[in-house]
Amino acid sequence: MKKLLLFLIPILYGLAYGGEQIQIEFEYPSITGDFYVAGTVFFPPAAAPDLKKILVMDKDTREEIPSKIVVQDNWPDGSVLSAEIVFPANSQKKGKYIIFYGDDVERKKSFVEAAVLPTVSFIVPGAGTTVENMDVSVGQINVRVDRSTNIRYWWYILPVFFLILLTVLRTLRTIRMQKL
Amino acid sequence: MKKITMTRRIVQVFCLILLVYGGYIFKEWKQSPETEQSLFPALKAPAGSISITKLEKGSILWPSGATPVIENYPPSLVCRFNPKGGMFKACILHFFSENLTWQTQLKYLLPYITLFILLCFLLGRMWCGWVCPIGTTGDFLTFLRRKMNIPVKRFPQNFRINLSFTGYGLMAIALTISTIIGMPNFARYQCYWFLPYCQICPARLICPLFGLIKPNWKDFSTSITTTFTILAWIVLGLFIAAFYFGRRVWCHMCPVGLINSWFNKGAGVELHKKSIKCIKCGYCADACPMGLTKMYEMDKDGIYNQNSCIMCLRCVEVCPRKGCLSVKFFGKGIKIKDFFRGKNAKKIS
Amino acid sequence: MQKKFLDRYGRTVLKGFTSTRSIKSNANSELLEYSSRSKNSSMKKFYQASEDFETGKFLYPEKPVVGYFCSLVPEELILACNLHPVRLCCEENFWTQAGEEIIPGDVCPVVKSICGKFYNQMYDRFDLVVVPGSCDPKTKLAELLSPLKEVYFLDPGRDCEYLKNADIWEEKYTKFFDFLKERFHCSSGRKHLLSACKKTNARTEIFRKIYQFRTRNPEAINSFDYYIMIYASFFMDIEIWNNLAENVYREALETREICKNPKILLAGTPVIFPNFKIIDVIEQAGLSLAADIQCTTFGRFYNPVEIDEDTDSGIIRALSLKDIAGSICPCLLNLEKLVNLIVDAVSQYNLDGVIYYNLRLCQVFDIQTAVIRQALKEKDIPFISIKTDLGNQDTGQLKTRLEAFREMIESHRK
Repeated sequence: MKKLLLFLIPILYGLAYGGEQIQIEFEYPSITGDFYVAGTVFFPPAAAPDLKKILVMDKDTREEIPSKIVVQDNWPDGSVLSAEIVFPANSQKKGKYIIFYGDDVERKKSFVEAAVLPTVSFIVPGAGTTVENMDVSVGQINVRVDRSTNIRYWWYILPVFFLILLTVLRTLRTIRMQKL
Repeated sequence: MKKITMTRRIVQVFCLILLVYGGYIFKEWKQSPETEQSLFPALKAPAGSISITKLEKGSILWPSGATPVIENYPPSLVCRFNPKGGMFKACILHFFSENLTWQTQLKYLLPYITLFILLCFLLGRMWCGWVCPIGTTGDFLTFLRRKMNIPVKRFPQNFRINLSFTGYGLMAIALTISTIIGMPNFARYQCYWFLPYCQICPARLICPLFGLIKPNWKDFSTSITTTFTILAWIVLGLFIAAFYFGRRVWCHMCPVGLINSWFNKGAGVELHKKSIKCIKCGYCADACPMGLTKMYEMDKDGIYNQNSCIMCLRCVEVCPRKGCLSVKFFGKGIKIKDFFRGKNAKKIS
Repeated sequence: MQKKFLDRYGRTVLKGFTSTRSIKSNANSELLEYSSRSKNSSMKKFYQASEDFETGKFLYPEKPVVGYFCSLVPEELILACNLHPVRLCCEENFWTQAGEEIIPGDVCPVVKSICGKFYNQMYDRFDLVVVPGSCDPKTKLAELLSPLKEVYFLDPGRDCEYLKNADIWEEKYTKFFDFLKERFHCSSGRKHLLSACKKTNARTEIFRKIYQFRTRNPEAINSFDYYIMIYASFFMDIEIWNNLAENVYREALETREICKNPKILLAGTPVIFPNFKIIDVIEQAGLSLAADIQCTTFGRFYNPVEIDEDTDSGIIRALSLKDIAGSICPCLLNLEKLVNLIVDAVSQYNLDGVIYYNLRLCQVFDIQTAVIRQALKEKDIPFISIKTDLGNQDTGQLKTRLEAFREMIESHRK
């Protein structure tokens, strides 16, 4: 039993806190040498509590990349809605990068744009649509599509009840048959 | 002598092909976009829902292959991880979990629920024994074991009852989590906890293989996905062990089968016993893949349908005494043995 | 068997018992009579084989021969090891009297006649004898035969409840199979078991056809033919038997005789070849024996082997279910099953009455009589129990009783 608990507790701990990743894509420019990669990322509500909880990571080596993050907008609860992220890259390395955020993420490396270098913007595939359709001013997270009420689906209740009633009656009959 | 099992195997293979590769065959049939026009309204995630943003390619919950062809629910399980998204989309547990999270209005679910209950009322848990792709896969594993000449492991009654409690526990947990993350305050957890049972279901790793697609078998990006990955491995291991060393042990704890099983005792397919004919040879109890013994123990005439029965009709098939065990549909006899024997049946009687 | 016992007493026993010797050279004269009554020409080969076996001229196949008693011994396992199984059950007055010298007293006549045959070297060809512990006399028989032959004692237990005992049976049968493999140096496995089961299942199919046919038309294959066929199946090669029986059935299908006599069911002690007194009497009394529930016929042949798990242990388990759980042996706990079988057979085949045949000194059959009588009385089925021995003294009396029974049935019909 103790062993089981020892096994379960880390799992439960892991379940309680978790990080989330966003894949980013950009095209490597034709120039050689260093350049900056920049772009805006949207986060789900309450997912990234503040800008310390966001970092950029090399996808293959899992190493943190120094990054500059500027919060552009906040959710009503204070968490980050969108942020501009800038980080350096090298065209010879051709690494792939992901943005990592969440409660158990802690950014350690930051950087300042020291030199003037060309900037490439990245895109986040699949995101974006998340935020645009939300009614931010009300603070409502789930917005349902308004479907006009249609009574005809409610008629299905009749056969459902009828079938359930029949099933229950037949089940009772079977149980009685098996008991005696 | 083994005509019923032969038919069952043919039906199983046919259903496997239809359900798994249906997406390739029936590309054209798409759900009508106008919800109010169709008999079965399209069920979609509410716009802005976080859960759908996570369904990128490469995510655990991505229906493998291309986009789901038809956004539709048949009465019961066909996996979302089928290649090409499958002919139909999902199983009943998937249906409930997904729509609890999306908070779909009840009236849009009613047509699906009606169809599900109707089929369950007519056929009981026949789904498990005759159609289920996972069951078919498992039967194939059992077949392999028999070819390898490894004796079957027979589990005691208590163990099997406890397995069904496990199944109910899993179902309760999955549905509770789905309900909770549907609430606005907890919506941010949707990205991790959406369809919790699907993430550990063995079908997640097995079904894509039918289409020669590599399943997303590992995801160590966050601690939660790591946990789910490891859990899915453990469950897959249990699944393979259950089918390889026993017969249909897994089906005792499959939550989908448990939902079907509520209809078993009242189902239209009735298994009748005429106890005066019984010679207590134990063939039926020995052959039952679910390890049931009711048909053997029963000492009076009547229906011996049981919740755990998967309606494979093996007991009817192996019974050496004609007329002892029989299948009836709403009390009307289906003389399966005669049906297959044809004209000679009357001669031999 | 216990080696100590054999070492200490084996030779003494042998010496004491083999001092007197009876020799039987002629075949039973009845055999000719029965064969002349037969209307089925395909039956001749069965009669020939029975005569050969009686006089010791029967040609066994060129492989080791294993004798066994009772349907509790799995024939398929012996077949799977490429051996020739011979069932040795014997009810013959001549050998009973010979056996009397070895085991005098109120002992089961079957055991007496078996002992008589063994101690007079009728079964010298046998390499092994398998004795099940089905009833008390059989258990002791295993010890009596052990000085003469190698004996394997197979005790399946007296409880035929599947749920409790299936694993035990499987274990015991597996041990027996392992013993056979070791003793005869063969490495039989799944393939051999499956082919053996296929043979016995084919036999079951033919037997079922004949059984069902006789319930409608008992005259086309008369009861002498029927029991001679059963007797031939004791020692004949199974495939040859299947072919011959198939011929008999085909020939019988062509005859269209309508049976006018009241049809009766014979239950109780098995009827084995020379002891055809009861059948003879039934025939003389104007009754026709349309169905029977006995361990040599129904109990042995009616259930097919249903192989669910075609692994070694799965097949052996299926055999144990067929032979023990489905058994109608009165030594096991299955009286309810037997009563159900009789009642069901009477209603299913439209039979007119039940004769319960009981060999004197077999207590288990005797004890059942009262229960069966009561159960059949409730269902209003005419019932008569006959208790007799292997001798021919009481034939006239039996005939009178059965004639009275016939009149009772006829009045019952109206």
